[in-house]
Amino acid sequence: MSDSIITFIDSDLPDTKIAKFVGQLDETNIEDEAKRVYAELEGGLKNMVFDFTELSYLNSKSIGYIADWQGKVTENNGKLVIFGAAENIFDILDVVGLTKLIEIVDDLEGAKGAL
Amino acid sequence: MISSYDRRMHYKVTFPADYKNIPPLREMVYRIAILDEFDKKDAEHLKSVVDELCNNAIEWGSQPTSEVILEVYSDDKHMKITCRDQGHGNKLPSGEVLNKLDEEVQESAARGRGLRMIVRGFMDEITINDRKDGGLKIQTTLNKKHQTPNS
Repeated sequence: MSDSIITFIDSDLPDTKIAKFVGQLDETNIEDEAKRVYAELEGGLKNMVFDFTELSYLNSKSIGYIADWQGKVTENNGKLVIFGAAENIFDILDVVGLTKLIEIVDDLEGAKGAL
Repeated sequence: MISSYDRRMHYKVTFPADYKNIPPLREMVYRIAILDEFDKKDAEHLKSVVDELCNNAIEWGSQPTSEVILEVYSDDKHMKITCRDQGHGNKLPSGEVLNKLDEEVQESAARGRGLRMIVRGFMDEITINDRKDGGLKIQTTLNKKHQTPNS
């Protein structure tokens, strides 16, 4: 199984949590990790900020979940913002068209500004 | 003397249809690509391509006792990655159906994002064929974009 962990950090912005992704997300671990993100969203969270600075790999199933999470925060009148994506992560988000749906910025300050 | 640019490498891996086998395979192909002087960006894309091809073979073309065959051929001009499954999965779109991916047949399907968008997006060529003895053979090619000064 690939090593990956998502940790949630409270933000100084209201109704906003930061999810920090570390390692590789693929078929071997995304199902378990996704449940934790859904649990946060079902708690009524409005905005989510994904910290990808330590995420080294992402596959298509993981991208499918990100697209679904984007839909859920939009339903809550919130916003999902990603920051710190490495070039390979940005490329795969871009090739499936997710960069047109989700704002991707350089750093946490940029993410806060985008909310 | 054979220069590094005359090198041809051919690897063939047969592995049990279990997702846990894929991370080391995508790392292997990344390292082959770097060794064969593909640029790092392409090598990263090849990891995704191997991942999607193998995931596809396991999810759609295999049962727990099946095997998947991954072949990597690399020379000074391109890398070819071929993935074969045994066709024992529960859902088996034919090669003919999958070849219509660009017509949005699989636009919203789980199989569509990996093959249609990622593999087609990162590779220069993709061909999908039904195997005579069952399953699919998917062959993809990435042309080397940046030739070395000595080539």
